[in-house]
Amino acid sequence: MSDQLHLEPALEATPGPAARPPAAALHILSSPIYFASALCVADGLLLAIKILTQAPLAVWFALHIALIATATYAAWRHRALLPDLTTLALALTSALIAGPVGALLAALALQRLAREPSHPKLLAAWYDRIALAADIDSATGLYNTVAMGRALETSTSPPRVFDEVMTQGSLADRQTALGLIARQFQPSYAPALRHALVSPEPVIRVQAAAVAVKVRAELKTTLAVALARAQAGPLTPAEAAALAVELRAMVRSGLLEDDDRDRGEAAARKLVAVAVDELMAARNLTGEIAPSAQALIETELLRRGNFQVFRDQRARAARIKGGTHV
Amino acid sequence: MSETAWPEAVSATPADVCIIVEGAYPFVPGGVSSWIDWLIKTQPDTTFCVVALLPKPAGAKPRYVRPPNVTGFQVVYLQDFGARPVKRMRVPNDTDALAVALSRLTTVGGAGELADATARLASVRRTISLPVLFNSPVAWRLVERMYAIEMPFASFLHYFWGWRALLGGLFATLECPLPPARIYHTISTGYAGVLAARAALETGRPALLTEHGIYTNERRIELLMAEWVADTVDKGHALDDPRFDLRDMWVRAFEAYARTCYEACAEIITLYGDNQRLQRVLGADPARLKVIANGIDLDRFAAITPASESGTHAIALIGRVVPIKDVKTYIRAARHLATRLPSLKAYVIGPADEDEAYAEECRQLVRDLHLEAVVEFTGAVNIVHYLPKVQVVVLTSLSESQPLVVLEAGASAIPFVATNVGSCREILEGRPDEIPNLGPGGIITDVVDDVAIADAVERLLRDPALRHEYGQTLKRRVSATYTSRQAAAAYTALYARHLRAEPASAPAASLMPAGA
Repeated sequence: MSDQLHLEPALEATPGPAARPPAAALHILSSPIYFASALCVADGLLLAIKILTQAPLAVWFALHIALIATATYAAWRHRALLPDLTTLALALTSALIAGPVGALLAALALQRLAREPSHPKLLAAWYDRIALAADIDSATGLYNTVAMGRALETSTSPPRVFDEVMTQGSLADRQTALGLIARQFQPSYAPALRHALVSPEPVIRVQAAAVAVKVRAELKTTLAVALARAQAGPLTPAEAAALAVELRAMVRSGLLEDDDRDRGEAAARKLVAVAVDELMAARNLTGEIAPSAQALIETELLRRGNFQVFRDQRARAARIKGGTHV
Repeated sequence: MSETAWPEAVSATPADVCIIVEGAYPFVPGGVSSWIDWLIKTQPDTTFCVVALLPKPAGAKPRYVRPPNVTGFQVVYLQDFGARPVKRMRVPNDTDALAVALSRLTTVGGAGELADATARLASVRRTISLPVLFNSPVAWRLVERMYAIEMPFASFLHYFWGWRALLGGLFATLECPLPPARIYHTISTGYAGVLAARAALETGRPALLTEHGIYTNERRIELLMAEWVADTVDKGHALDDPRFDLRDMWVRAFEAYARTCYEACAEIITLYGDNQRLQRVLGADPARLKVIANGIDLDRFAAITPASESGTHAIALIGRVVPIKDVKTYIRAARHLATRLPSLKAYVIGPADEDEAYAEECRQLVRDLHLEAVVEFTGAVNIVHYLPKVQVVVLTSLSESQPLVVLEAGASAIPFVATNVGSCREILEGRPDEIPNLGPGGIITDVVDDVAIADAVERLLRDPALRHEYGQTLKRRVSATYTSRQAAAAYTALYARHLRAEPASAPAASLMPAGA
């Protein structure tokens, strides 16, 4: 691009035998700034002559095109000797479109680019990276530290079942698990919480009690939201079944007030009934049903004695799962 | 108790005991504050000065009358970053070493780490004060280095604010002038514990610790549950991921402060034996551990006789209406009982103004469960007037240290049903070293178990003989072990031992700038 930017020569077929240009011409061609400046001067001269001699515009335009064509030819002919054809092409295009003004702007732009800091380190880092070099630059190192340091560590052992942690884990593990239960509670964690509440370790009992109080309040809110969703309707059978599963899990957590538990249970039953009614009417469920919801629907179908629909459902589930669930 | 003037002044004459307390006496009533007030009043021949650590200036007013033997009072604000930022200054060459020392103090802790960090800080402080340092390029260099040491992968922004809160408190503790005293007695670990450790290090005088609850564990529970702490490292549900995140930074800092305090204190006192296990886990030397149980004034309850059989049943929960008392479980238990014992009256005796939202939730639960005629919130009243009406006292707390209400009921010969928290089991069933064992004075249940609590209360309410037996047993145990006189004598002896002692070693180099 510029004197400071010596990119690799274009890896193109070597042109046919060409006479080596004079040193001055080569000097101009090899520097895009000089090249654009030369174009500016030459095209400016043509314009001056046109203005001074009152020559017709067509004549000036023909000479302008000829100048650009000549310069293009010279650049192309000696391309193997030039560091970068792209910038020359840009200068030529600017000059072709805007005459000496375009060439001047191209020269100024190239001059400015030449002043920008060079990027050999960046390039070297990039080459190192694509070559999978062992050395990495500081920016990549920082990226790796941050991204890898925060990412989930998948190479370690899988997470342990909380219920098991509460009975066999160390004090620190049990406290950490209770923290996770508090922050990311799901009804399926309730057995672990119950174990913790009766732990022989006072520290665990106290923490579990604090978690239970927090979770109870949150579960009450979650239940209210789920009940509102159930009432708002309309839900597809798959959605109704999924919501019923969610409600059942909350009900069975043992962390709801009696009234809330009864309301949750009633809503879950109603949702399953709705899902099965829809199924009976349409003989088809839209959307994929989670296995837990599938179980609820199947139980309800069996309770009603709808064995044919039950078989259809099983067959459909088997098709979805690739024939394994029969 | 009433508001009164507590002018901030420290006498040049050393007080016998400097009480160091965080976020309580004399500004917050109840619990630890009442205990400190009791301690000072029961040692009339001992002079005290009080250092109260508060988060920031907020116009808090003392809630206790200043006892005449308090000769000095000083307030230290932990989060008062008052100095104007300094944009340009030379960063001393040993700042990186100071960062390493501070990192060790806040992640590992120990008296050696405190000595190292204070010595390095002292050299920096020859030219600039800590409040100025805290808002200067030196602090920026410190936070950069400590971040690189502790958690270079985590969010720097979160680390920065966490560091500022954590180190702000530490710097305030290391900056404040130490009142002259012959014993430094801290009432918790945390920043108060670090200040006591610093006092022992600088003056060579003994430091003592009395822990009611285990401060570090309380902070740990809060932090593990806290939603405000950002988790910047995705640990999934792994429990053994060793990477250090912001939550760990806070927890480890409090553990490190506890370790520092335990190492520096000559004696580590708690209210009951169970607490000592945690203290040992946190690095306390078993040889320094002592138990001094709290006691009550038996005379105050001497005239009370338990409610007799009159066809009605009355129970009471005595305590503030706050979540930690789990009043909702008491109300649920009352619901179970009301169906079995129609004449039941369930009192909630205690102030409801500390957490009004929670109190309203409790009242709503009473309405939801149609217990308006059963459950009565009395507000703050003199329990001596209510105890004669009550046959069983209930405690549903999630956490306690040594609840005085169990002792007060015991002194009145009223049997107790309590959750298995703090020293409730020791009080109701006797310490392991109680010879001969007097027998049960009440029934222990699991926490948050309304059915078990209701069953236990019903058992006592339906069996007057059992109720009488348990009440009398509890009264005997309280009279034998948990009197105010015994507790006061234990502290008199403790102070006497250490007041006689010569300074343990030559005082370490003070943090105070020369000439201060």
